[in-house]
Amino acid sequence: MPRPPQQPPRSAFTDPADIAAYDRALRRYTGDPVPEHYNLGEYFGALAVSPLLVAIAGDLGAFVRTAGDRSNTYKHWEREFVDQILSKDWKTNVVQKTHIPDALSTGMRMEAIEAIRYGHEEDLTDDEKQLATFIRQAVSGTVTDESWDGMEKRMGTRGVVEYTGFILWLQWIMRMMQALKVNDPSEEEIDKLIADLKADKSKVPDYRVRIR
Amino acid sequence: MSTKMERTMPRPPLREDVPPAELEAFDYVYGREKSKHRSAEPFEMKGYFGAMLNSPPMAELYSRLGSFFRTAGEHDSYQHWERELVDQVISAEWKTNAVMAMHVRDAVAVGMRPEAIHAIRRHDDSRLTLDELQLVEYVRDVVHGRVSQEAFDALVKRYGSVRKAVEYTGFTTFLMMTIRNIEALGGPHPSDDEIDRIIQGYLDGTEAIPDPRRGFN
Repeated sequence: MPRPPQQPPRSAFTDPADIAAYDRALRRYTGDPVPEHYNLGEYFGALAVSPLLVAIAGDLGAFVRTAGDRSNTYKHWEREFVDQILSKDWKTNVVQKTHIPDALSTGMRMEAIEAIRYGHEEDLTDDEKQLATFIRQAVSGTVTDESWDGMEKRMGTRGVVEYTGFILWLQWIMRMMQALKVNDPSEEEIDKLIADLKADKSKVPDYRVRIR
Repeated sequence: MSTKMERTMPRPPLREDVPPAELEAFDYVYGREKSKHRSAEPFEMKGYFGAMLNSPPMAELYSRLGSFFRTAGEHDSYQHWERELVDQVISAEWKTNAVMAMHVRDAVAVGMRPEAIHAIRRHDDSRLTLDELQLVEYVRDVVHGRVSQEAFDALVKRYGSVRKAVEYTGFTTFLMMTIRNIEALGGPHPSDDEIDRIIQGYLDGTEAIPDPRRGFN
């Protein structure tokens, strides 16, 4: 069985609930009318073997990506910071081709990306170090009262609930990507991406185009 | 193993404090949690989803995803005992009891062998059937991000369906998310002795098998 599983066509489904969910997943990208076929990409395409699963995953993804448009929660760069920490700690680049450019676009410092990736986190600011600590505690089940309180003070109760929810949703995504074997770029590819983005900042895309 | 905590889980907001645009999400989660209430005590919105309701839209999406995975055994997907096995494996792998008080009972209720629960908890794979062992090893691989082609192919072969294999993988990662979220939010962390006593009750037959309809919605 090839991994990642290939996106099935809509005609593969007969249950009306499956068809409605499949269309919901496509509609996020295409709007109405939903075309007979639209390539969801390798990750969402693989999830589309289970239409309700891909539909809910799409809804959740849109929610966590757009949360930073509100003032009562985490900021966009704080969201992108999570991708950098988990990628480093789990030694995977499954999200990096998209999320290093997005991180820069949201205002995350290139110096912070490099500090995390290349293991010199003493170069992180105190503000960044707080996030790094909390993210690692969240995915290892070791969040302390002090850390929770600090994050609650930083972004409010709703903010820290949503930030924790996002960190763990990203855990879901990355472990699914690994299990389904989506493309995991080499270290050399990511190093080159970083070098290119440093050399030419105009290559940084606007993250707002992608978050909905 | 649990991190010592003094705090309790965040309380949900009062309904009158929820923005109108988020009331539908709030009511969905409240209604679903109330429908799962098993005690004779009056229902009170608290615990994991009570904390999550500080963000009604996120709570709703998590709840809908949870409903999808828990009811999969009612449809054409993995079986309920195979789902409950995931709780046992992740809890043992991560040395956490965050969901064990409920899910030892749920596991037995849907037909998981108490001997298998005991063996998984003690990392004693020699006492598992080959059928159980396949899933135990697969779940561990997902947890550690090391699923091989061979393991994935074997899961697809087991289910005769890529869809079911993806859904089982999705449930495993969903439970990873849920357990870590409960821990982060300051949820209960029963002692090992407490959980061992529950399991022992099923092993020696002193504990009655619970209603298999627990917790499917």
